[in-house]
Amino acid sequence: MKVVQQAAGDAVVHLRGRLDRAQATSLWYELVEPLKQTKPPRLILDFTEVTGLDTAGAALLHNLADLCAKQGTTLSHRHLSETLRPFLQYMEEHASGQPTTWAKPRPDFISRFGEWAWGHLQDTGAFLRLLGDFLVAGPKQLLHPQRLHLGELLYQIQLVGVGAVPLLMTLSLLLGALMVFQGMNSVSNFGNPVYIADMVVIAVSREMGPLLTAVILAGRSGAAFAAEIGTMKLNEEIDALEVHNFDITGYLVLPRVFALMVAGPILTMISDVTGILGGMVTSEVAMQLPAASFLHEAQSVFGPSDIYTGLIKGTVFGAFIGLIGCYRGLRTGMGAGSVGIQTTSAVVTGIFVVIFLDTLFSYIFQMYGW
Amino acid sequence: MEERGTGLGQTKSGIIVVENLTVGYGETVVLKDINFSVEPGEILTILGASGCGKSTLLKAMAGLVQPMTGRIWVAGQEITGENAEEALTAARQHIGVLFQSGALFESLTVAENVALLLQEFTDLPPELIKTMVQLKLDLVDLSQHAHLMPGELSGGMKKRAGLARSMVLDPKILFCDEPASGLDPATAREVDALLLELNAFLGITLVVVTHDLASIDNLAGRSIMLDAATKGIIASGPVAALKASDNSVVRSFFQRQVVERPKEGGN
Repeated sequence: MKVVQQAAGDAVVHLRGRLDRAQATSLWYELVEPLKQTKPPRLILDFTEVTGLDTAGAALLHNLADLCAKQGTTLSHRHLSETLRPFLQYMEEHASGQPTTWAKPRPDFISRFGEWAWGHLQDTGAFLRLLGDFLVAGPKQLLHPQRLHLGELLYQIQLVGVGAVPLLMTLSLLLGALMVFQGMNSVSNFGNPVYIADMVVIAVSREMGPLLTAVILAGRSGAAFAAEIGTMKLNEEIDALEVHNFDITGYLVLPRVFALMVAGPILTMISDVTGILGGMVTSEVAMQLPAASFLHEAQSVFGPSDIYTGLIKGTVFGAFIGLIGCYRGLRTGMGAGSVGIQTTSAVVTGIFVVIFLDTLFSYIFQMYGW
Repeated sequence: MEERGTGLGQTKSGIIVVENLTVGYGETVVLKDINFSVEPGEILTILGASGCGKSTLLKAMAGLVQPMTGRIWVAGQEITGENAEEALTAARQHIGVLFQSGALFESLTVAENVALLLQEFTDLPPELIKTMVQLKLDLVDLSQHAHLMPGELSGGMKKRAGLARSMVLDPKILFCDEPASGLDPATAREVDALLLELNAFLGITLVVVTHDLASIDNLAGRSIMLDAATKGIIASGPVAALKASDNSVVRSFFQRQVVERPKEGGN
C-alpha cells in the first residue's frame, strides 16, 4: 500500500492501490498519527500507483493537509492523475466548507434550572387552562345532549371500560387474596379470624379498589389517549380540526374524559366486589373461615360511606386521568420520540395525581367522619 | 473515483437485475412480470402516475418488500433466493436509500444521523468520521444546521439530510424515492445537480423514482414507465424517446396540460 522514504529530512510517501474506506483506518495509524511525532519539514505524497479514491480517502488527505498546515510541514502531491484530480478538488472544496457544530452549546446550570422550572410552570398553567375549559364546556355539553358526540362517547366507554374488566377482575381477585395472606397472622392474635373480613372489606372498598382501578386506567387509557392525540398532532389532524373551527376540547377531550368518569366508578365497584370475593375465598382456604361468616361480618362493617367514597374517587380519578392523558397528547412536539415521552408522562403524572388526590380525599373523608 | 466498468458485483447483465418480478401487498398485486436491468454507473428513472407501483418497485429492489414471484439481483447478490437474508445483508453494504420524507432518526441531530452509519459499520477514527460528516453535509448545504434535531428542520432540509446519510458510505447504488417532492424548484434542481455530481465523481448507480418532469429532464439517463392498468412497464428508453412515444398514455404523462378556467357566472 505505501512505502515511506526519508531523504534529506523530507518524507516521501508512495501510496498504492485504492485510497478508500477499507484502507483509511490503517493509513490513519500508519501515516497520520506518526506524522504528529516526526514532523518532517516537507511531506510528498506520490500518487503514481493509486488506482482509486473515495470519500474516506479524500477525508484522510484533507485531515493530513490540516495536520501539516498546523505543524508547519509543507505538503505536496506528486503524479496525481487527471482522473482523480477533479474528484479530489471537489471533495476538498466541501471538506473545507463552514465547520459543522455537532451539538448546541450546553447552557450553564442556572440557565438549565431556570428553563426547567419555567417549563414546568408553563406546563402547569396550560393544564389548568384545559381543566378550566373542561369545567366550562363539560356542563354545557351535558345540558345540551344534542351536542354530545354520543357515538364517540359510547365507543370510548367500551374501549376504556369494557376492555379493562378482565384485567381488573383478575388483579382485584389477587389483591383480595394478598390482603388475607398479609393479614391472617395479625388477625389471629385477636383470637377471632373473622376480623379478616373487616380488614379486607374496608381496605378494598375505601382504598385498594379505587386505587387499583385508577392505576389500570392510567396505564391503559391515559397512555392510549396521549398516544392517539399525540399522533394526531404529528399528522396535523389537530390543525385540520382547528382550521375548520372545531372546538378541540369538546370534540376530542370531553368524550374521553366523560367515558372515564362513567367507567371509573363502575370499574371501581367491580374491583371492590371482586377483591372482597378474592378475600372471602382465600379466607376459607387459608384460614378455614366459612364464607357465610365472612359475609356476615362484612355486612356488619360495610356501610353506605364505603360505597359512595369509592364512587366519588372513581369518578374524580377517572376525570383527572382522562384530562392528563388528553393534555399530554396535545402537548406532543415534533417527532415520534415526543409521542413516547408524552405517553410515558401521561401514565406517571396520572398515577402521581391520583395518589395525591387519594391522600386529600382520605383527609377530607376522615374530617367528615365518612 | 475509478475507471468505469470495474464496478462491483455485476452479474447477468447489470448491477441490478429484475427478472419476472410480481410484487404487491397482501393479495393485491401491484406489479406483474417486471423485467429490466441497470448497468453500473447508469442513471435510471422510474416514472408513472401516482399509485402505479414506483415506490413498491424501489422497495423491492432495496429488499424492504418481498416479491410474490420473480428474482432480483443487487450488487451481485440474489436477494430473493434461498439465502435471501444473507444475500440482502451483503447487498445492503453497497446500497443507500433516500426515503421520500428523509426518514431521519428523531432522537439524533443531523450530524449524528449522518455519522451513525460510519460509527456502526466502520472502524474509522473519530477525527476522520467528523471530516466525512462535514464533507457530506456541505455537499447538501446543511453544515450550518448540523446540530439541529430533525423536528427543527423543514421538509426540504430533512430530505437533504436524508440524502447525506444515504450516501455517507459511498454506496455503489443509490435508490431515491421522489427526491424532488416537497422541495421548492430551486432546491429540487440543486438536489438533481448533486445526484449528477455523485454519479460523475463517484460512479454511483442511481435509481430514481420521480414524477417531476424537470428532474426527469435534468437527470436524463434511461427511463422506464410503469402503468397501473397493466401493472407493468409500458415504455423504456431515453427520455426523448418516451416523449415521442406512439403510446398515448406515455405521451400524455409528459404533456403539460393547460386547464381551462371555468366561465364566470353563477352566484
